Amino acid sequence: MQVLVTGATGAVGPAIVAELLRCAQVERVVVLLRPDLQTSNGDRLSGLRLRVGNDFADSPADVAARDRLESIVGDVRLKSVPRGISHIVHAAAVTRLQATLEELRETNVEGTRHLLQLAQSLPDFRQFVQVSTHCVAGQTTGAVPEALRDEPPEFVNRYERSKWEAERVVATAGVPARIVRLTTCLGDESGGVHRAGGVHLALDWLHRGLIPLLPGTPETPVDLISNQAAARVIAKAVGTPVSGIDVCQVAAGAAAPRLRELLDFVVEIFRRRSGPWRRGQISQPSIVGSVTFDEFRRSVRSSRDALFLQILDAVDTLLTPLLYPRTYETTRAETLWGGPLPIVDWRQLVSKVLEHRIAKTTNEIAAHA
Amino acid sequence: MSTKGGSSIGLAGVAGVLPPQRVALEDLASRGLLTSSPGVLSDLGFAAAHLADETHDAFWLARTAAERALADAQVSPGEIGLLIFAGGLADSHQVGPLDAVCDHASLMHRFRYPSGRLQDELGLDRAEVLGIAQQGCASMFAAIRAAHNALQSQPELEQALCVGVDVLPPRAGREIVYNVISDAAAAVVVSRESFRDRWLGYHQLSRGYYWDTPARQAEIIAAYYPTARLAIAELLDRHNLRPDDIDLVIPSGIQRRSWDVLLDLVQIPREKLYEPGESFGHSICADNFLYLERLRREGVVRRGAKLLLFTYGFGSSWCCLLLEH
Repeated sequence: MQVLVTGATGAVGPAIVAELLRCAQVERVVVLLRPDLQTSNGDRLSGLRLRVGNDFADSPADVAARDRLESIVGDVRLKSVPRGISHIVHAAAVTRLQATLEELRETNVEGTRHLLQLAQSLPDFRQFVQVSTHCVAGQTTGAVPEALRDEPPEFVNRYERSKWEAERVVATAGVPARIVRLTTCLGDESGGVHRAGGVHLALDWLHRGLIPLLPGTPETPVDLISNQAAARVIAKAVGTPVSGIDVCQVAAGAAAPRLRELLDFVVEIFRRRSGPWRRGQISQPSIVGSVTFDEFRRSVRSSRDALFLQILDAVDTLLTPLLYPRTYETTRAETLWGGPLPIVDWRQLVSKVLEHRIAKTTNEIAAHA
Repeated sequence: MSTKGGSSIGLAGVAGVLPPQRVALEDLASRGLLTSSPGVLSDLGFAAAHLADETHDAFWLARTAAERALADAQVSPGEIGLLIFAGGLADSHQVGPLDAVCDHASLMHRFRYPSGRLQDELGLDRAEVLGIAQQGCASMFAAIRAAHNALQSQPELEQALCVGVDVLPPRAGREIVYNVISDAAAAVVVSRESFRDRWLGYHQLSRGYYWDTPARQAEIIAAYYPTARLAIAELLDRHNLRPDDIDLVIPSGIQRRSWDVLLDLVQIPREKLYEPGESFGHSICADNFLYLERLRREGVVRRGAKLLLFTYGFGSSWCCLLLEH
């Protein structure tokens, strides 16, 4: 197999590349790197090799594995790919909170469509793997099946809509494809975060005591997985033939913490690591329902406070889905994987990621002091 | 620290005073006294600010409030055993402006206190005098609490007069953290054996982490709700009260919408918030007592109703006072 990967330098990308390189069936991994005026392609590939290499030892086999990594420069509108590409893992997406629907559709929908058209032209092509998100469930509550919906649900934000539309494009493209929906990838099992996303920003703000209210219910499940869990299932998907369209979800499911439990756990870590939290100077945020959160939202929007508008936008995008409690079915993912999904205990994952984030923030503050 | 249990100490007299000069938002904006637009502040529930002037200055406000509170309590000045003068601003504790250059003459000027002047001009000749500072908008709450504690610990003390006043410096901006600021004064006579607004309890959470108000403004805004919720919940818990047991919440004058959020957080129905009608904005220390005075004048709240007064003061302190009307 020769695999083209988009989004290789994103949040989960390096983990995906690492898992693919571990597969003996994978002869070559070609990563698509967007043009960057500030950094050469060679440097970026070296950087990616370094990040991927963190998952590898220095045995000859691992060195050889890293050597199977190549790159090409371009974006999702590229016109051609190297000969021999048989699989495409499409992990690239725009996830910016402030992006307009048009901006999101340009990459997330039309970019996907373009890649699918390109795939159809490849003589050796076997499978398209669309890395999608649990957010396509929108405001759905209850059990979320591993299936496509004919009609869109109500969405919380524009990003969710764009990813749902992307799934529709994949489903109707007429190529063998697997849609792998990931719940929130919090970070590496070691605690590292390659590219901080909205959830990390929210954790940083929470640590600073800048989030007063969390929308949701105390019993809302908060499904968190590691980058490695996502990457392992994606790599398995690549190595498992599919005819038609398959949808699977990589999620913690019943093992996911509830919002109150998670918040208490996070605050306990803050108290261990942070003086103001330990001394009770910063109070834990309250979990509130939609009516109260709407009122809070209105007061922030009325004030037009720049920082709180930014925080509100992030909370609205990331955390408002917590108002819609749901669990994700994982039967098809487990069938693909061949057993229970490789999900680490959420406490272990959250602890390690938080320790990294707190250390990073502390170092940044010290550097600027 | 909280004051547990009921007592026979009550607020025998309550008065609030606003200077007569009322300036609308557009006018404040044209004078360069607002940071946000009038539209934004109007959305937040504000309409105007009351500004002191040469005639109706800080001392006039304080004295007028004190006289009215004494009259409301039907207490003569000579019966006051303790005078507590409160103010959130440093300027409030000084008669006359502070000179930039401090020579001997101006140094001595720094020891001219309005509390002493008030004692003298009102004839509070039996009163011990003290001042309350560094509590921001919670100054009057702190004063009343100190008065209550003094009455509890000094059996010979019968009446205490608490006076709070803050007037912004001339040409100072009239907006603090999206709240329109009015000058005002309040006065309360705290009396032994008074069953008017009888003291039931008090609770305060102070968080020195937020001492640097400009540097931690964002954190203060974020801390407001969860800490307020905690303070009120702890007060109710200490007095074995449920949120439903509160009959009326007497707010401060900060943006109206924030009260709906806070009441939701503490699970007190929104309709229990006292709605006084016309907004006077937010005065630094007098709001709740301006409203309490109006409430008493309206006479529509039944005897025995449980009133919850809440405020936040820079420094920072979150304060709640529980009264039985």
